[in-house]
Amino acid sequence: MGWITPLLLLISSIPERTLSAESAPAFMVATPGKQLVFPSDHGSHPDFRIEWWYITGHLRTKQEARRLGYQATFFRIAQQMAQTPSKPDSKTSQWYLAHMALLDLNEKRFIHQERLHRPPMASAAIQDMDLRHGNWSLKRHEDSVGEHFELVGSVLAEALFKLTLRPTKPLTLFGDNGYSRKGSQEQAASYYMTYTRLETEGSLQLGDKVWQVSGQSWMDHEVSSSQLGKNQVGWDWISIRFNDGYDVMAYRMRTLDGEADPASTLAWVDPEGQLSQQPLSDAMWQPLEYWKSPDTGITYPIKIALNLPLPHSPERGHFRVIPLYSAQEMKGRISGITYWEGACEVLNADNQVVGEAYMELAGYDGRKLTDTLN
Amino acid sequence: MGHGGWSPERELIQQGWPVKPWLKQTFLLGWHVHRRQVIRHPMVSMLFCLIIAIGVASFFSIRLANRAAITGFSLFDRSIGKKPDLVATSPSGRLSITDLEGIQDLMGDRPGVLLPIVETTASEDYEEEVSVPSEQYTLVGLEVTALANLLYHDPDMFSQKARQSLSGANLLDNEEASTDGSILISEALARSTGLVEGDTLRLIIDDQPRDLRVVHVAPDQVFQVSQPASMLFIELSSLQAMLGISDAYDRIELFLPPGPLKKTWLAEIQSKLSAPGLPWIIQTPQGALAAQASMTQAFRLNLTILSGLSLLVGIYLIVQGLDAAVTRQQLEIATLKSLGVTSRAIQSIWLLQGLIMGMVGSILGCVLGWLAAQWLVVSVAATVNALYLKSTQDAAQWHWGEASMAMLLGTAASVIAAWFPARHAASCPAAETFKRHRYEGFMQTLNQPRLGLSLGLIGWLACLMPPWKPTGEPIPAGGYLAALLWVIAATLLTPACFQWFGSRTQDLINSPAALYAASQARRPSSRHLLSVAALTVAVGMAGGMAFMIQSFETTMVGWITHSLRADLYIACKGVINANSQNRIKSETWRALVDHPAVLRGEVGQMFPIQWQGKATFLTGMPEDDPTRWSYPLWLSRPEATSQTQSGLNPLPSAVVSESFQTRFQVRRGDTIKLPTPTGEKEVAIVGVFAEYGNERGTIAVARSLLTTWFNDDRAINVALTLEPDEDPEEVRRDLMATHRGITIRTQSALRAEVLEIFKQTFSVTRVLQWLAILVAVIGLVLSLNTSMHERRLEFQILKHLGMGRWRMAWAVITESLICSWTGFMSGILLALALGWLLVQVINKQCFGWTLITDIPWLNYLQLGLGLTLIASLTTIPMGWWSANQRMHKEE
Repeated sequence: MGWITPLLLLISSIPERTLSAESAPAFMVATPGKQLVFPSDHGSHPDFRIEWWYITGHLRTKQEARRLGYQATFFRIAQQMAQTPSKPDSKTSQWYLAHMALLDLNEKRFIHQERLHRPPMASAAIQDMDLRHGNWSLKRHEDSVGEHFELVGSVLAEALFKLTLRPTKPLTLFGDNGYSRKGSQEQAASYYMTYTRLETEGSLQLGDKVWQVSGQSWMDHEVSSSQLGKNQVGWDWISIRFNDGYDVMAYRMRTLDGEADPASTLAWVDPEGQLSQQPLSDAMWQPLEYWKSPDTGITYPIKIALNLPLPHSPERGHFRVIPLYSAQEMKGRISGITYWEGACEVLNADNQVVGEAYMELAGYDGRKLTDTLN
Repeated sequence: MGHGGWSPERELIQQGWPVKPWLKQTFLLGWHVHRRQVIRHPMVSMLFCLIIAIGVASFFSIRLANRAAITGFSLFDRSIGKKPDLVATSPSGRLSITDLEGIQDLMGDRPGVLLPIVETTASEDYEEEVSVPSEQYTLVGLEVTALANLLYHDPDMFSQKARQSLSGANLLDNEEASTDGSILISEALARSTGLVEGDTLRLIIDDQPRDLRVVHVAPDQVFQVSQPASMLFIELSSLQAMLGISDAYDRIELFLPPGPLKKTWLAEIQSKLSAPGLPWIIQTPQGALAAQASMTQAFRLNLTILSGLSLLVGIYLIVQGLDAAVTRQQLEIATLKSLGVTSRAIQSIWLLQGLIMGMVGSILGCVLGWLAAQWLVVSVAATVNALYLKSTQDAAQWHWGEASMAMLLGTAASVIAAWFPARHAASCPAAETFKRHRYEGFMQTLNQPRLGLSLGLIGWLACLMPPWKPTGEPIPAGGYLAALLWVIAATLLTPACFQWFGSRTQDLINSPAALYAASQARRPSSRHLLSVAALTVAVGMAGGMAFMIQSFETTMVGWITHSLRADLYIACKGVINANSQNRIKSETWRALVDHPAVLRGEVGQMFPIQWQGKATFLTGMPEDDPTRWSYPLWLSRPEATSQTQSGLNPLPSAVVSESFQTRFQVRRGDTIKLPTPTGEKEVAIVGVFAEYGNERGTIAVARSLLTTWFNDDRAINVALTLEPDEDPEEVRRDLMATHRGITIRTQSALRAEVLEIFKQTFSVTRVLQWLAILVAVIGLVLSLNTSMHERRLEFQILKHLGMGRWRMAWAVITESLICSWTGFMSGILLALALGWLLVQVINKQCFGWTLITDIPWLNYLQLGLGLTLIASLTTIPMGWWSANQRMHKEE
């Protein structure tokens, strides 16, 4: 899901007055009962304030046993415009923010980049998933085998990856058929659709070397206009692909008093793509170890214990999520927002690796998120 | 110097120098000889150094001023501090959103930040009757969001404060404001104007007064380079909206991110984007800067050559001065030789003297030059602004490279000047020098009129050479060579002229004083000849420039008289030079033309374009029919048949200026393709007109076509002819009261303004001319002074023979007048030759302009009278002093 940046930006982009309920109706809001239609709902929804397409994955090179993690996120943010003499017909303007990150585990190197553009340098098609942000792009295709996605990303002039992602599970619509609640307020909701498993193949250029890579990826697409509660200081989010074919998506909205917001959710997707969901409690998500960023001084709980009810068993699953590399901190030089988002592996109680994950940790700089951004 | 005292030899040996015997000898002798020379004639030594210093200062100051003036071209370079890797511009002057997308598409999966930029000029609103705009601002419209991406390319490229203002929250929060004319100003401007965040700055953009809100005062080094105070940043879309050119850009800058793949990717991108047939021009920043600098290349080269004039004249004077020293020290030389000092050592002593004087003079010259450059840069930048491109009047910075070159040149000139006297000093046999007979000096060997005439002829042949085009812009190398050969020829012919003039004086005036003075001319000393040669060269080159300026002025005045026939001329407020980009919006010019007092209105349109890789202008003519187009001077008028031809041939008609014709080698009957934002347009050339407004050339087509091609009907100016009974001043006041953003000049005011710009253009040239003449006159006076000093014995003999004080003074004055008049007359002949060369060859090849030849006889007469006066006044005391010499004082 990769909430952090879009939400922060959403807040940061809206002047105080437009956060009020009175001004909110300028944008559409997610409502229950809407029937999502594809492929058009894979495309952009410019009438909503914010949406993002988020991909993370674990890759291995074919020639060498090189292990990599990547993140590619495309955001669209609509800004409500005042009518001005220079733009009398202006209503909204679209902004596009994007992140790319790459972890080279063998080299113990994490590189990332952030971009912000307006059209025509960035765009998101309405009819289908077709995103462009400079040389970064994400496009949905259909062929005889089925649908797949082409992703082109780069980080500075250091890395370039071109990946083909094929879903091996059907699209998951979280919440109520895609309507996902994020808080107690009526408008705190989104349309949330995810491919939890995508077979990924392609090439990666790092410096003067080019590798063929393969692995598994996760893709979110979420559309919203308002979903962050005023009492929330941050959140933890994770996506897990277990080796037995099960997948987990869980998020823990952290409130001012340090507890999980009731809207925090745990979702299991079985090997056939069947979804089961329940609220996520504090007891299910326990920090085990912290890491302090030498660059920003922020401390993140990067190792956690998950005590989850299992969908296929009455017992609980006890897992530990261990980052592949500690320093996977995203320092948003443009957005000004810093958070941790990194590739992890999941160990069971017997210390066996049972899955791979991506975890997002936001709002750990000691300030209330909304204060920071406003 | 006692045995126990300091000696250079001891010093050198103590320091462990590997001193060779002859070098030691030379150094020691040089030290003693020149120490004595400096002690006995301190003023003379100082003057030598001063002459070199003036020459070096002149050269150095111009080089620094040129450098400062052209650094202002790189505004794009300085706008955001980080040099782009590539810059895309359009031959039509406008890039579109399609071009932006096209560039992005061609880059494929290679990363890079594309930063589209629009630039325009603006001036502060001012009361027309009260003041004039002092500053022209440059408004740089750029997409701040795109700019923010560079934070990932170089996190340190922005200052901390700028980083804060570029961070997401501020970027997004300010969007609403930024689309309606919010600006970022430099701290330098804030300091000078007292503006603070939240204040409003009223500027005239196009013809509209706009209130721009200062949203941020950036630190001086917002982008780690100092922005000129006149540079303002504004959101791209906001500026586009104000200019009415939505989705059009002046240029697109491309920044590649850092990393090991950057070099390879940049090469790939450059290759792809530079493929033939693409509608844009891709340059590196260095290439773009070089292209802009090449526009002023001829102007700067001319100034540099002119700045060398003083140094050239200085060489003559140094030769003369050192030669005089050789004469004075003949006894010492002979004694040294008798004591066994080798000729080589004697020659080295004088070369050493030249070297030391050159070095001291050059150091002084560099200091003087740097000071002079502070003034010159204003003048050079003003000229560059008026005629070429927007530049900034930066302070001329000290530049070690230029200083080294100036010092090298000054020292070399001094050593070269010392070479001939040194050789002659070395070659004088001891016995002969003891005789102390009149030392002829080496100049006698330059008395070669035949060689002079031959060089003159070779120079004439050099004039016929076509211009040299190393960078595409013409450099009249043949013309410059001819000028040099003619200057040398004049030097070689001067001795003969001087002797002839002396003989004629003796024939014409029979008084003893005149006879004595004429005898000096008939058997001139080396000093006489050199100072006269220096004066010839100075007068020749200064007179030649005056010839060119007078011809240019006469042509310009005639052209302006014919051009300015309307009653009122209208432009946007704040348009102060050729670089101003303000335009009059169509609603404004239509209202002006439709005013009831107006009989006829002519709307001028102009777009800078690139044709065949060179900058030129495309202008619009009011009528569609080329035979009705009006130009003051046609070199080849569109014929009535061209209308018929154009009926047969669907190509639109165009006329070109003479400069365009020369620069691009086109002629009537040719068809050319013009780049426009709506694609290439083919036109047929049906006429050629004379124009002196720019040397980049102009193509004129019907304005109706231009408006369609550029999708822009803004006017650069409007000329109004009023109904017969209307009072221009009254109509002017009426129009200005209605339209706040325009300025209206009457015909006479505009004429005066144009001529003022013309004068400003040549202001530096005039200073350099006078400097050369000043150096020459100093040399002449110095030479005569030395000569008198050497001939003290002669004067005393004349006194004993009964020549009175007044007569003796008259003899000295006559001698001085013969020298100055010979130099003046020879100089005028050289001036006429050089003037012709400048007007007919150098100017023609540089700028492609046909000028009316107009010799500044009055200026020459004034110069002649001035020289006569100076020569007389400065030599009267000398004559008086000579007459008062007493025998017992002679050594």
